[in-house]
Amino acid sequence: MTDKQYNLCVDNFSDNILRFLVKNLKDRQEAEDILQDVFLKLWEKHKEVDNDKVKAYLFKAAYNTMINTINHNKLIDNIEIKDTVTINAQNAHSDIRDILSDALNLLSSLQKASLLLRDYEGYSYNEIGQILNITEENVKINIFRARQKMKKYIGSIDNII
Amino acid sequence: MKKITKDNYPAYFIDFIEGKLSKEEEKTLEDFLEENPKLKEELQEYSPEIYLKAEENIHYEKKEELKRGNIYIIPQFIRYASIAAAIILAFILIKPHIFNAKQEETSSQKEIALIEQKIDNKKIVAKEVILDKGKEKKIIAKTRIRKEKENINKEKLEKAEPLLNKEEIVEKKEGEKVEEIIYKETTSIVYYKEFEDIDFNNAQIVEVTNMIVKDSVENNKKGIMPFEKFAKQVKYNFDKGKDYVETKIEWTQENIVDPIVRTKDRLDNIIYRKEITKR
Repeated sequence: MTDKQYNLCVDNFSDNILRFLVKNLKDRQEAEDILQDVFLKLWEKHKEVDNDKVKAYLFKAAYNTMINTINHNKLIDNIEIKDTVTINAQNAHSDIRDILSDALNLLSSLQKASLLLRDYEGYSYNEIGQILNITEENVKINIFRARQKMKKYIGSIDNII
Repeated sequence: MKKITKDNYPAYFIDFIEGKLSKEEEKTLEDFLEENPKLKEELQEYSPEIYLKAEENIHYEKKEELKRGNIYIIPQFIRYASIAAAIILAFILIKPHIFNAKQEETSSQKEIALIEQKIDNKKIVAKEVILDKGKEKKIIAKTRIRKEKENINKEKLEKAEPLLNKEEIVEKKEGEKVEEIIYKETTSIVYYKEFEDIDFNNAQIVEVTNMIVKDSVENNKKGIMPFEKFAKQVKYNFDKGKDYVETKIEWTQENIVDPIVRTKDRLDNIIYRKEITKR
């Protein structure tokens, strides 16, 4: 991709990447840090990256960096603790977005990423598999499990509609 | 599609819900569910309606910083490293300047010392040390002028016919180390101090103030003063020489006639010269 395409890429995809990271990490600052890292990596290799595949490249880089960060910061344990707290406090929520957001925290990183890429970005299962470096079948399994967990958390779809 | 198992059945469920299974695959799934009634309940309870809607209010506000041209992306791990790097870089960049500055200073001092030495060799005292290269040229020029003067003086000295013995004509004050050279010109007798101890930083002044003028009877008649003649020569060599001579030197016809020539240097030091008796 050219320099110009890189800049267009910033305009077109930085919001998407940020949303993906924020929803995964629940930490805006951490998400922005990773976003900057991702675009830095892209810039360093932008001449080698196919412009048609740059969005997937960005999500893949974002996800990998995020996982590394989570592992590094040992946030996984914290997220699990948060899950317990969230479940206990579920009745306090009234806003559907908050409920879904908390429900999202029940998911594993892979489940969450799969679901976000599917619902937020509209990626196909195959594309998600390429981004997350898993098989298409595993993507489907993750998404199925994710929605299953979320429904269990919400209780009934009628509760949030 | 792979064979349906208890591990991969969710993938079949999704394809089934999305209508992507072939009839053969649907039949395989039905058979599988017959064998696993709990999983059939799982399928029935699955709610694909639970759909996450992207939160459009999340925007990255610093897009311009990510763009090329003004891209200053500072990854988290680089931030701390960059601080250290900046310190090292600053040290690397500044140190040579300090070093060079010292070298330049040393070099400059050497050059100045060399100039001073040259001047000393010619017995010229440069009290005002040149502090920068810009003035270097000036002092070199003065040195050149000094050589010209020396040549003139030597030429004049060769042609000069001493009228008196030095010891006889010069009255030295106690502690004064003034060596005067006497030579004769065709129309006048000029006594002037040789430039051996002239401060060339005040050349225009000192050169004149240390000059002793004794006009001759012939010049008085002609109205041409050796001093003026000399001043012209001074001007030739020193740009401001004549101007200074004309405007600053306190001399009159009387001074010339008078055995004592009174002049003033830049520091307003009055210099008295006792007239040398004309022969």
